[in-house]
Amino acid sequence: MALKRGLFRLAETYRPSRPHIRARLLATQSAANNEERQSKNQTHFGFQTVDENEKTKKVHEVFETVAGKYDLMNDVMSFGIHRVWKDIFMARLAPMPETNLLDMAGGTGDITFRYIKYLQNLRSKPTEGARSSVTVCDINQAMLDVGKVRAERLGYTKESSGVDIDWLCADAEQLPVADDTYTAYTIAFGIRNCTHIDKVLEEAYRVLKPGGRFMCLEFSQIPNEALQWAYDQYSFQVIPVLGQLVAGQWKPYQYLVESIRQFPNQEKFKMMIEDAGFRQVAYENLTFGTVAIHSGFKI
Amino acid sequence: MSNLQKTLRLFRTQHRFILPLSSVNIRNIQGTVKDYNHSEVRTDIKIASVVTENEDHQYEQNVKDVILERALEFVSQTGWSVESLSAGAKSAGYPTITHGLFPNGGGDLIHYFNIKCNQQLAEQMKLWPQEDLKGGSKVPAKFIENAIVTRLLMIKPYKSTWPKAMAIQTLPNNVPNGLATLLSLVDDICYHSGDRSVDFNWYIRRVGLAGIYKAAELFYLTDNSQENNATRSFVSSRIRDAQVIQGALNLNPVTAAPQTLTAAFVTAKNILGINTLK
Repeated sequence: MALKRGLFRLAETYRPSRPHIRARLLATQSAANNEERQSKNQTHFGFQTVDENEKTKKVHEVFETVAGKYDLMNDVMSFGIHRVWKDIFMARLAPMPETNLLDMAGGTGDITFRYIKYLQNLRSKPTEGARSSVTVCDINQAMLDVGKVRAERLGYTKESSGVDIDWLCADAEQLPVADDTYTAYTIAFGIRNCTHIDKVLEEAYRVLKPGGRFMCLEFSQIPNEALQWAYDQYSFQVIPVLGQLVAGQWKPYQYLVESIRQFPNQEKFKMMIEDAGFRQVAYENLTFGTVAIHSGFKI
Repeated sequence: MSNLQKTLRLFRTQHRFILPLSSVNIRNIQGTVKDYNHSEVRTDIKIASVVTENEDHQYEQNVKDVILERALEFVSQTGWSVESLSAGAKSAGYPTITHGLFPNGGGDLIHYFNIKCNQQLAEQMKLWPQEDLKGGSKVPAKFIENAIVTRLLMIKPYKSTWPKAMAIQTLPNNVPNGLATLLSLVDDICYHSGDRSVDFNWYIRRVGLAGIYKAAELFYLTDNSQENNATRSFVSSRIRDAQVIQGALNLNPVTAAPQTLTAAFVTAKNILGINTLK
């Protein structure tokens, strides 16, 4: 191990001009770093190691700065594929009338609007009194504001959509919500940015009714080495540049790609969901595993 | 002792390649002593975890079965669909969204129904008397006919929606389940009708019976006759066909020679038009 580390250091010193290589090496060391971190209440912010409180603050800053260009950048970076991912995500959830959804980290409303549309397109019209609802929850008010504006522009109101929409600014790790409130909990591209993933999962389990479903759409790891290499090249060489060109920001997009590398892979995340108490946990890879849909039930 | 340690240390510092060898030895010695205790503990843990896993699995399966059973009540209104599953979940006390437990939607509901019917049929067949095989007949035709008709009548409550169910079963992701239930059905029928063959006939019987069953299923969908007599006679004539085919296959070529020759002559005559000259 010591020898390996020595080699890593050598590699780092010899190739300071190629940051992505350094990044991959750091990623492989993250397991060792995790142990050190836990003793000092530290966590990762991309590839940096920071205090836990600091991470919350930093993530907050990131999303405050990108909120305005968030949707545009999603389209640019994923070539618009993120829309397909989200559509598939909603098709897998397949909401029925009388669903109470908590759309966690859903600030700009991408998932919420798909949810409303899905309910509107159902063949069977809901019977009287069988209303569905959605609570859009985000830790960042700036993102929620963007979502509210979009909802207004798209004409999604309580009356027109037949779905109750609430907006809530809260932390996923401590929700101001009673136990057994919702029947579905979705979190799309959000759990990665939370400081304590296990706490988020526990909270999700708490607020769900028995029989409720937890679903998570998140970047994941590609099992194929060659594809992973190409993906890494794109992530570390192209995305920050795109961020600079389109949104005028480099750092937030550097953080974005780094945080994706830090997130546990499919199997590990599945185990974490099971540890939180969920049953029938399964995952599905989309686009070779670039993103994965995890699903679990509270039964 | 101290000399030995010294030499060892020397080896370790000067020749790195020896390190793994020595460490392996030491580990092995400790291993034989310690492993004895370890292995016992390990097996205990394993058994415990297997039990809880089984219990977990059983619990999840029970929840699923309750929902599926309730969902069957809604099939006549909403068909073999996600809507039925979600109505079933609701009546079992779960939220409508719990239908997600069944990723194949209606396919899973049909699969459950098929398994349930197969089990019922197997239970019933155990009580039926074995048919007396007298005379030339080697096939328990009556038994098989009864089994097929009994199984078909189980579909009766869902007859109006069954064409769609058959269509859903042919969707690629439902085909494995559909074939498995069909094969277990014909296997049960063959077994309880007294088939103990261990030769190639084992396959022929089952495949043939599966064909008869599926044909009868299709026939039954459009059968409006009283007490389904038309289906019953359809099944019995298909079984007779199967008997004839099997008889033909089992025919000894030497004994069959005269018949074959006569047939050939008649055909030749027909072609030449000699038959019509008379």
